[in-house]
Amino acid sequence: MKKAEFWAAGLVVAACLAPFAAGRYWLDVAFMAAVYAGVASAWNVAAGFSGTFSFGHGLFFGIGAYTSAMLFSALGISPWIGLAAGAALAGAAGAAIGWLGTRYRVGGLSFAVLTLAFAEVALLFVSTFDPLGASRGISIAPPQPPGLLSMQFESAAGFFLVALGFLALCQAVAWAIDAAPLGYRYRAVRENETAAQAMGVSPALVRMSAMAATGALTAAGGSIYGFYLLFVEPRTFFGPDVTIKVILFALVGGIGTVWGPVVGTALLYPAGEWLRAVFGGRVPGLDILVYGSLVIGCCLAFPTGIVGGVGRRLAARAGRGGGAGGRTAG
Amino acid sequence: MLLEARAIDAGYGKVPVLHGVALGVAAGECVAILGPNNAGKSTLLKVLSGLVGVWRGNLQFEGADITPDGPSERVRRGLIQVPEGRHVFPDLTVAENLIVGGLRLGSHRARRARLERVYDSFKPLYELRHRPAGMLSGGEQQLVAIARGLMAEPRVLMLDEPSLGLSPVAVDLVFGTLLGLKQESLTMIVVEQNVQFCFDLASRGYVLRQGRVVSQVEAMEHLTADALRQAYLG
Repeated sequence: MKKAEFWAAGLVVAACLAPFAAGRYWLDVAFMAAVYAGVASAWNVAAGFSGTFSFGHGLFFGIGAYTSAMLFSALGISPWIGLAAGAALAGAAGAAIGWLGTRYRVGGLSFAVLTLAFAEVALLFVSTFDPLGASRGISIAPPQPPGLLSMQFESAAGFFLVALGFLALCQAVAWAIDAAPLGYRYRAVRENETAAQAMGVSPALVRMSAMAATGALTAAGGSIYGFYLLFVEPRTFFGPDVTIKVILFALVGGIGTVWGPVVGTALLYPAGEWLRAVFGGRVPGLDILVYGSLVIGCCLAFPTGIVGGVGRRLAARAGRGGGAGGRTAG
Repeated sequence: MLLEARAIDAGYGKVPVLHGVALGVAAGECVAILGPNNAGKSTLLKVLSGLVGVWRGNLQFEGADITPDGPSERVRRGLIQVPEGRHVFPDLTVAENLIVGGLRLGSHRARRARLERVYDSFKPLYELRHRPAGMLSGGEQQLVAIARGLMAEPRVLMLDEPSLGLSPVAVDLVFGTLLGLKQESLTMIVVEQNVQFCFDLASRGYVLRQGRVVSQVEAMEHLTADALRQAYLG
């Protein structure tokens, strides 16, 4: 296992450094990949760890982007403070939805549809509410002077580093929850709510905390993306696109694992961009066809996700060798 | 009395199930709750563990009124239920299942120590500790559920139909385990359809029918076939 960890660490460092060498275009791709990876990981904390599925992460992404954009545009408040405020607001929204779901016993897929409903209502509201720019959105005047404090950079490398920081935060939260007693509570509720309750685990607290964590992290990603584009608009942020993408990334990479969503995003997102660059101009839609086939192929080859599948195989091999296989609990 | 239920009315939604049920359990004894299907046995256990709310009456545990407490508070007090139908966490390993049971214990170290002790009395589970619980046999899953309850260092362990759906060999295995716990003076409440099972395990019993306690058996060995027939068939 030591060897595998060594290679994994090497791969992570290479993946972080490669975009710097590959130039502007790939730095932009890497920035988006890091934002998506963080959001996918945040989605996985609720859905993968605790079984609290959300189809409405656009709600959180949008709250984050709009809160920081409005605070900066209207009051000149630093994007970083706006990011924190957006995260707090989205976290509260997540906890409220989690509470509603438990209170009215809306579980599983019905809960996912409930989150989608909230996101769609928010999308309609923002699209028609004039003080938030309605469907025109809000253009953000670039904060001055460029630098880390103003979250503005002359090169794409700066944005990529901020996105990497965001991803590191998401991974730290996911890892901490997974390893802590809280992670056992999450998994207990995911696996069997009745048994979890009998063991004194409160599904309400699990759902609320999971939705708060995923909401806050997703909102931070939204803020960063908003200040990268310097433009926020209802459909890009509140729309279902982000959610669909991150669910796909997480599923392919391995739902319920700490690193699955990141691995899934790191493979699929750049692949999708590359396919678009190669096929996009020639035969319309061909890149999407190939991309779809790639996703289906991944799902067939690794039904439990790439990380889940590979992890299981490594564990089985270690088990046969006489050592302790898999995750040793506790 | 360690645990006492006084004149309990309870049910689901608007449907009443229990009517004026009274029950007491002293420290160190094993009490059986007997009765035919739909007598309200499982509901009574859920009332004790807090999974079903009380409409009227009250619950005392170690001298404190626990009627308003939710399931989490009751687990914290040491009132631990092993739910019916082998409710294990299927994708978690046996070890992870047991750790969930030990969440009540304050520290990681306390959980590890408790885990070692539970493995000592559940040797087969130690061998299976890295297996997903969902892949075990029915009897092994029931052992996981019981061991998970024991991880919480229960003051009272409440078992709902521990022999339900098990093969005769597995029933013997579970029975032997519970007998061992009884000898360690663990306070237990067992709901069972299998009268023989209770007969050999419990010292006292309550017979429930249609949500009421219809008779109390002060010593299980005095439970005659006639009394039993009376209880079950009316």
